[in-house]
Amino acid sequence: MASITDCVSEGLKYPLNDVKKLLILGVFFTISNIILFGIFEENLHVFRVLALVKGTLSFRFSQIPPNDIYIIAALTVISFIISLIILGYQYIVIKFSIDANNNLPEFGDIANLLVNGLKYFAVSLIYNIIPTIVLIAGVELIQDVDYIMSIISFILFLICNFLLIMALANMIDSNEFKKAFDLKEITDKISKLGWVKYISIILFTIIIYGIIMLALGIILMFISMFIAVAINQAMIIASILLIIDGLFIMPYISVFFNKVYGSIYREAIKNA
Amino acid sequence: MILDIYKDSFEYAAKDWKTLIVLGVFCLLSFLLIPIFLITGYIYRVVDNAVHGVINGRDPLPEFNDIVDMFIDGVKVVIVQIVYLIVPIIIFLIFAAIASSLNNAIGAVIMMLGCLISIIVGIICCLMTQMGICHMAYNDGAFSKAFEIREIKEVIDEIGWFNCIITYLGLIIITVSIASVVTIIIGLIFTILGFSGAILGSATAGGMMAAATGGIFILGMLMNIFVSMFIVGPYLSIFNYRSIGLLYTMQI
Repeated sequence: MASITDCVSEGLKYPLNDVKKLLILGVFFTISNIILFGIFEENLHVFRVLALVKGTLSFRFSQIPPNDIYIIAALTVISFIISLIILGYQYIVIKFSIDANNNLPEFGDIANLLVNGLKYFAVSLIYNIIPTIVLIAGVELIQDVDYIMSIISFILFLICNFLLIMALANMIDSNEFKKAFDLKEITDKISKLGWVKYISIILFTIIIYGIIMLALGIILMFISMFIAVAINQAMIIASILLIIDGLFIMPYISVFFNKVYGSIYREAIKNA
Repeated sequence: MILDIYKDSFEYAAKDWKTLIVLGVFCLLSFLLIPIFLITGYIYRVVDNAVHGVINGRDPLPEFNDIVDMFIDGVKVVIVQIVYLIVPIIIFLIFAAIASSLNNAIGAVIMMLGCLISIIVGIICCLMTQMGICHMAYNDGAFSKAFEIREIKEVIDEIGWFNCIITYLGLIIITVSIASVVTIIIGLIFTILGFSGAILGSATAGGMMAAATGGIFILGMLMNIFVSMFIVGPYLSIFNYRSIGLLYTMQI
């Protein structure tokens, strides 16, 4: 590999190797999108009911119609399970990428996907907890200088998420959960690749992502304009956009990112 | 030697008119954002061909295969250009900040000085950008090589700063003159058509023909835009970057 940016172009090509599997992943994304949309709708309904209860500014749980709460809870659980499946798929994408396997993973073993997704989710959550705590503490406790705390927590977010990429790959490669928190090994692997190279390749990936999303946004804007001319219904336009987004764009982007993460890790251990 | 570069680039850019049309279509679709990077990616391939070729060698024009790689290369080129562009802007802003805080005759002098320095730095950065892209292409697209200022400076030293600047001036003059000549010729043709139409028309039916004359002028303008977008623009950019790529190979 002549240049590290080849990782990115490889990542952009990789999801197109097997469009059928990408579309299956897209179906999961679409379901989750629609459920989130539904939750949003139900929330609106709840707020509408709350607004109708006059005279009381205090929030009382009993005022919310119980049916809506049950629906929201059920939908949240379902969407969480679906997102776990998606994360589990991303886990296997990283694994395939580390093994330099150019096929897209199968959807055969849903239980396995769920377990892997849980691992992926847990690691991401744990890495993001410290900056979140700092942010909340900054906003809540220190009233006057909260912008300093937000800057600190922003920097912490950046550092943690930069480390998170390597941590995920490290965990997936060794297939051990605790390897994700072996900071010494992770930083060793990054310094083998070179910190500047590591950060610049991630920034480059994000720039490419930004350009693609901007271009897709322009195209989607045109599509929605055409639909708006034909059907004068905001809900329908929103649902069509959600379906396009979930079916084609989100699976492509997520597989692209995870392929690149895996490739970066592969480059790092290759240099050793 | 420099004339050889120009001659080779002229011939090279005129090798295949289909390429020019495709680039023109990209240019037309550039409001979709991604075609902009495809154009720069194609230009990167032209540079890549040139730095690995020789003057008066029979290199073919690069093909439009492997769109994804082309896109990535284009983004790389744009990033290199932006990073080098930031340097003179920052220098200018620093001087502007100092000058605005002084706010008297000394401030004005410092502002003038700042403008001068940032223009000079800008010219140097422009040279460095082009050579940086060439250096990157020569080292198989390694991104860090575009910012190896010492290596790039050595390359320019070997070519000779004088040669580089002369080549650049020549490129600018050629580009401007070709573009303006083509525009003027098309403009002239349509002006003559329009006026002759108006003269002929005044004999028969004045009002109708006046509108037609305006139509002919607008047609001429559209024609100008299309010719510069589909033929002259792509031709000149391929020509420019081929020349710069060949200039890079002149190092001993």
